[in-house]
Amino acid sequence: MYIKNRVRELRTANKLTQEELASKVNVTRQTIAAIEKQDYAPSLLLGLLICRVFKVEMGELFWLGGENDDE
Amino acid sequence: MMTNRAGLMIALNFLALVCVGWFSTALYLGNESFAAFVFGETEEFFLSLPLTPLVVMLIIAVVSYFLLKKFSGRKVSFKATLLPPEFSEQDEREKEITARACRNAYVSLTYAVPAVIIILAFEPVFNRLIPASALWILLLIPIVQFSSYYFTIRKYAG
Repeated sequence: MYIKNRVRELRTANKLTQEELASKVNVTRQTIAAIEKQDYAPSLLLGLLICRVFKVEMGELFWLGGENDDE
Repeated sequence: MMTNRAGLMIALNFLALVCVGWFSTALYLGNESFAAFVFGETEEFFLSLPLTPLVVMLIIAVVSYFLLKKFSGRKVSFKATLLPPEFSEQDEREKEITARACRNAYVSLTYAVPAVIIILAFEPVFNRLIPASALWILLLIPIVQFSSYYFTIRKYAG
């Protein structure tokens, strides 16, 4: 099981660059890139901070992915 | 960026350690001469310390400070100068990768230290070829530690 997300989709919809989003949540651009590639599962705190930037609920941005998940 | 920083800083760190080895070899030879003098085997002793490794170490310290400033993108605190410069902990992901790299470096030392102790048992043989060979054999420990740290960073930071 791993955490899937819509960070890239919402970031582009909000016309933000990776650098801009990184600066809003106080992390490096590389960390945003890693989250978007699903290479890195952010902490609960960072996840909530990203949700606050996009004004969405946690479940809309992050969800569990697994072998039986076709999403 | 994290991988570049680790690679560059480790290379500088290792160069500094070679300088320590160089300086300590001269100190070791001077102490051999001093021991012979103290125990009445000779009537005088010689101690000649090279200045070059000290100058190189000073240059490395200055270069490391400016690289640290460049990589962190802000003023470097006094505490940061005391930490190994290859450490990169600007956010939670970097802290996690650094923690994994430190864990692997620790595990690698569990094997490297006994191996180096066994190699040191051959010091009398190596000493015939390289003066103060024990000091250079000890450099194997940071080689293993740095390699383990660097390859872990490269694996996880890309």
